[in-house]
This record gives sequence, C-alpha cells and structure tokens, in this order.
Amino acid sequence: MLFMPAEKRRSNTWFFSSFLVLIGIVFFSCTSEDCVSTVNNYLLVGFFKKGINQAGEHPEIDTVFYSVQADGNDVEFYTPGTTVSRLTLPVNPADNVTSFELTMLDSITYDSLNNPIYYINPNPHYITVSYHRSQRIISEDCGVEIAYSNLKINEITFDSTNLVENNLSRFNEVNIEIFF
Amino acid sequence: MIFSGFISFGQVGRYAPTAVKIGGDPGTLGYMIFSKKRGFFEAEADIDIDRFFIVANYGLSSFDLEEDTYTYENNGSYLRLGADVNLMYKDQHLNIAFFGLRYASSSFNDKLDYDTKAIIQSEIGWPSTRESVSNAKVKANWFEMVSGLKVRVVKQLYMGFTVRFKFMKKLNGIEELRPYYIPGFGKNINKSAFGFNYYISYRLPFRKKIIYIDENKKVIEG
Repeated sequence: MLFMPAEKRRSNTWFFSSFLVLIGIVFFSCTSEDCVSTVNNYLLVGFFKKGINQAGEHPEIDTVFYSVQADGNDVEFYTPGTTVSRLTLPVNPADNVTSFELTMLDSITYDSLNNPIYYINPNPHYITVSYHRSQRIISEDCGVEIAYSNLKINEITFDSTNLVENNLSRFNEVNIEIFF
Repeated sequence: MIFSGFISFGQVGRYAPTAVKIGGDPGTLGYMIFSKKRGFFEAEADIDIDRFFIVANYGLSSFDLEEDTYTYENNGSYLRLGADVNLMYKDQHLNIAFFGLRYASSSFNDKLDYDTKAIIQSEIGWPSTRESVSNAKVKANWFEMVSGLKVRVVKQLYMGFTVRFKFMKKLNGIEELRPYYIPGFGKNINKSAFGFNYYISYRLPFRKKIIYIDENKKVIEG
C-alpha cells in the first residue's frame, strides 16, 4: 500500500468509504415485516329504530335471534336467545357471494324447570351479499389475508335497509343498517 | 475552440463513444445454487461517453415460496435504462464512482395457492378449501436513483457494486391477487425499496479515450 500511487490510494479509500456507507444503508433499511392486518371477513349488520332521538340519531335496538346461519356453513353463529344490536356475520372466504338466514324469536318463556321455551318467528329473514376479494401475502411468516370490498346487497328481506360501508374491516364499522 | 468537444471533420469528438462494458451480477450464481425461493440472472451493458455512461440492465427472475398453508410462484423479466455520471472522470486508471438515474420496467405473472383455513384475521367455521388466484400479466414500472463503484482490477476487467433506491412504483394488470414480489424491484410491501447488485464486467474499447485532466493536459487511454 505504501508504494501505491496516490491516485490509486484515493481510489481505494473511496471504495471502502462507500462500502461502509452501503452497509449502513442496508442495516437501517432492513426492517422486520409485521403481521399487521386491517381486514377480516366480518359483515356487520346493525339494528336501529326508524325514528331519531334528540341527538338526531337512529338509536340501536336489541334484537333477539333464535339462529343465525350461512348457506354452506354448519356453524350456528349465535346461540338461541342471543340478544344483540349488531350481528357479526363471517362471509365465505372461498366465494364472492354469501347468504345468511336469520331466524328471530317472537318471545321466550320458561317451564317449571326453568328451561327456555322459544317461540320462533315463522318467517326467517335472508341477507345475500356479494363482494370483491383481493388476496395478498402479508409476509412469508404471517401468511395470506383477504380484503373484502365493493360490498353489494343481492337480496335482503328486511323492509328498511341501508348499505353504509362497502369494505369489511376490523374497525367495527356497521356495513348494513336495518331499521325497525 | 468553443466547439472543440464535438465531432468535427477528420477528428473524433469528446462525446463520441469510446467503449462498451458488458457484464453480469455474479450473485446470480449464489442464488441459483443456494436459494430455493429466488433465482435470477442479470446482465448489464454500458456505453462510455466521456464522463457519462448510457446503461442498460436486463434480468430474468423467479421467486417461489412454499409454506404449509400456501405456495406462491412469480416469474418474469425486467429492463432498466438510464445514465450515470462518473465522478472520477479524471482518473487515468479508468476507475468509476458514479451516480445516476434509471427507468425500470418489469413484466411478470404470479400465482398464489392457499388454504382458506389459514387466512389470518378471519372467523372461519367455513370448510377449508384450497383456493388459487393468479395474475396472467402484470406490468410494473418505477424509477431508481443509483450510486456505486466500478474498480478496474486487471486489464479491462472491472468489479463493482450498485446501490439502488427504487421509487415511484406503479403496477398495472392486477386482478384479485396483489403481487408479493416484483422482478427487479423486490418485495411489493412498501412504495419504495433499496436494492444492491455486484457486477463483474469487461470493457471492450473501440476507440482511444481522451481524459481531460485540465485544459492543457490530455491523457489518452486504451
């Protein structure tokens, strides 16, 4: 190195300085990939009074269900007698259309052993929605997520409804409002 | 004298091309031998014009992932075109420290097979099925700011590296699947990305290069 021409030494200094800078850039730009997903497959259906309160809002109302099921899915999403003002309905991740059957309760009484007797409304309601799915790999370790967007109501048997949010997300926003 | 830098009758001008360098990224071999998920081949060529280089890169790329719950395949090619400025243009050994700009374009297809049971953030209850989505032809383009070194190690043989900052990425032709990888760009996670290439290249001079050290001194290199 001592006998290297001055220009050559400058050139090598340049090389190694740049290499150090490069290592710094790579080090600081290597960030871990987080398993952050802002989407899920929950369709949120909210129940509201038709009239507005003093605040100018439609108040949520509790609704009692006997069963809530989806076509092609054996799982009962709610147990009989569940009272909710919002239903969380998981749409089918393998299809662009999902149909739900909502059976409501007219009333509940109890026998002498305190077992509930359900009086089921004979006219179940149906909600069929379609949506656009887009898949992505979040990271190699985290796996795949599906985002659901462009939600549309294909069929709904409730009289007064409103589609207010056409993306499914984890932010607990109601997608479909139903008014009684 | 004002126009002495340009081509005139009977004389080769300062901005006439003097050499072509042709090379490739030897990291290609490492990926081909050791990496199961990524393979690529990248060639580079540049034309030496005074202190400037017109540069082109062409690459072929494959990127595969195979996990328990999904597989992903991506195949395509990419092309970068641009120019570099040599900061060491007075160096008589023709070493190069450069910065430059590239326009890059990539064309690829990709395919994702996944189990619906493994979708994160989903309430299932649904029967698990194996689904498949793909993009037949996606086009991507972006710009790169580049910098690096190319050192003349022996005769006309050069070794060096290029650091890339890739930005202003745009994608066209996406269907349901959002690509996880873009050939030439890398993982499609952020809007920008850093990249790095090693290069080995060989210079093929076809004219003497005139190096203007100052107004009164010229050195002619082969």
